[in-house]
Amino acid sequence: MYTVSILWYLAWPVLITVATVIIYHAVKKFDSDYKKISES
Amino acid sequence: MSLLALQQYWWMIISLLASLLVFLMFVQGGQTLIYTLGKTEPERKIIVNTLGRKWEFTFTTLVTFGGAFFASFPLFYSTSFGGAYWVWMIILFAFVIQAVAYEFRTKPNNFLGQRTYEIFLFINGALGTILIGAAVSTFFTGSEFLVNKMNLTNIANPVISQWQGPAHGLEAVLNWRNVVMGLTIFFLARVLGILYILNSVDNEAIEKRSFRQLWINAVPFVIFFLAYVFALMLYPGFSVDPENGRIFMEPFKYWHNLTGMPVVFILFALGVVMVLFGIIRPLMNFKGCRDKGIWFAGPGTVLTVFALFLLAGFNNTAYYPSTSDLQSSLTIMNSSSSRYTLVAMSYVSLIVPFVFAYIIYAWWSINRKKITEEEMEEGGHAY
Repeated sequence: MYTVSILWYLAWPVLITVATVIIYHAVKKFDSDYKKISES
Repeated sequence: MSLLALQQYWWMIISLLASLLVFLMFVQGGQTLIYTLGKTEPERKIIVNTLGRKWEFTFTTLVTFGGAFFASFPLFYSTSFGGAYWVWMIILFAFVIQAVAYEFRTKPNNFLGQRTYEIFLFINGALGTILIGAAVSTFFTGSEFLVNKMNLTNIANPVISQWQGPAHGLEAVLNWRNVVMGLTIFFLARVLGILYILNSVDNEAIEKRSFRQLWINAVPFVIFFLAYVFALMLYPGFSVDPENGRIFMEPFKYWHNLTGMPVVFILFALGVVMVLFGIIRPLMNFKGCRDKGIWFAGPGTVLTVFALFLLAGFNNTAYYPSTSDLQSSLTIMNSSSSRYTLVAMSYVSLIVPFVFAYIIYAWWSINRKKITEEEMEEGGHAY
C-alpha cells in the first residue's frame, strides 16, 4: 500500500523533468523549422 | 491506494497549489506599487508590463486551486463557496477587474481611461491578497456554519451546509487573527513583487525606489507573520479523534502538529529561513544581490505555505472548523469525494506536472532578458 503511494508521489518530479525536456526540444525543433521556412 | 492515502494525496495537491498561488501573488503585490515605484509614464509602463507577462499564471493557479478543491473535497466547496459567498464573490470580482485592466489598459479609445485600469490593478492587489489571506486563515480560526448530511432527505430544503452568519463570509475580517493573516499576505505579496521587479527590470530609477520600498514592506511583513505564527501555536486547535471522528478543542494543537510531523517542521523552518534570506541579502548587499532575492523568497514562500496547509489538514486536524457546531467541522476524511472519484482524479492529476513543466519553460523563455525602456518603445505586444 505504501509503495503505491510513494511511487505516486515520486512520479511528480520525474514527470515534471521529463515534460520540461520534451517541451524544450519540441520548441527548439519548432524554432529551427520556422527559421528554415522563413529563410527559404 | 487506500481511501485515507488518496485523501492525503489530494490534500497535498491542494496545499501545493495554495502555496504556488501565494507565491504567484507577487503580481498582485507589484500592482499595488505601480505609482510608488514608477514616477513617470515609461517607468509605470515597464512595471505593468513585467507584471502583465505573469498575471495569467496567478489567475490560472487560483482557478486550478478552486477546481482541485471541487474535485477532491466537494463538501468544502459547497460549504465555503455556497455559504461565505460574499467574501469569495469580492475576491472573484477583484480578479475579474484585473483581467479587464491588463487587456484594455492601452487599447485605443477605451472609455474608462488608463488611470481607471491602474486603479483596478491596485484594487485587485489590495483586496485580492487581504481577503484570500483572511479566508485561508479561517482554516485555523473557524467559520460559522452547520453541516447535516441528513438534510438531503428533506425534499423541501435539501441543503447539506448552512451558513450561520448574516455577513456570509465577510465576518472573517472581524477576527483579528484573520486580519493579521490578510495583512501578512498583503505585505508578503508586495515584498515578492519588489523582488520580482528587481529581478526582471533593468531601470536604475525603479531599482533605487525598490530598495527603499523593500525595507518599508519587509518590516510589517515580518511583524505580522511572527504575530500570526505565535498566535497559531499558542491558541487551541481543532482536533479529530481518529477512532470515532469526533472533533474537540486541543490546547497548542498546531504546535503539536508541527512537532508531531518533523518533515513538515523542517519544510516550515526552511521556508521561513529562505524567505528571510531572500529579503535580507538584497537589503545588505543591494548592488550584488538585488536581482537574486526572488530565487530564495519565492521557493521559501512555497515551502512555508505548503507546510501551513499540511498543519491545517494532517495529523487528525479539522481543516475547515465550524465555530457554530464543532461536529460540523470538515476534515479530509469526512469531506472528500468518493473513492471512485478520487482514484479517477488521481490519474488526471498526473497531467498537472506537464502543466508545471510548461509554466517553467514559459517562465524561463519570458525572463531570458530583462525588460527595458527601449523595449517598451519598440512597440509589439505591450499591456
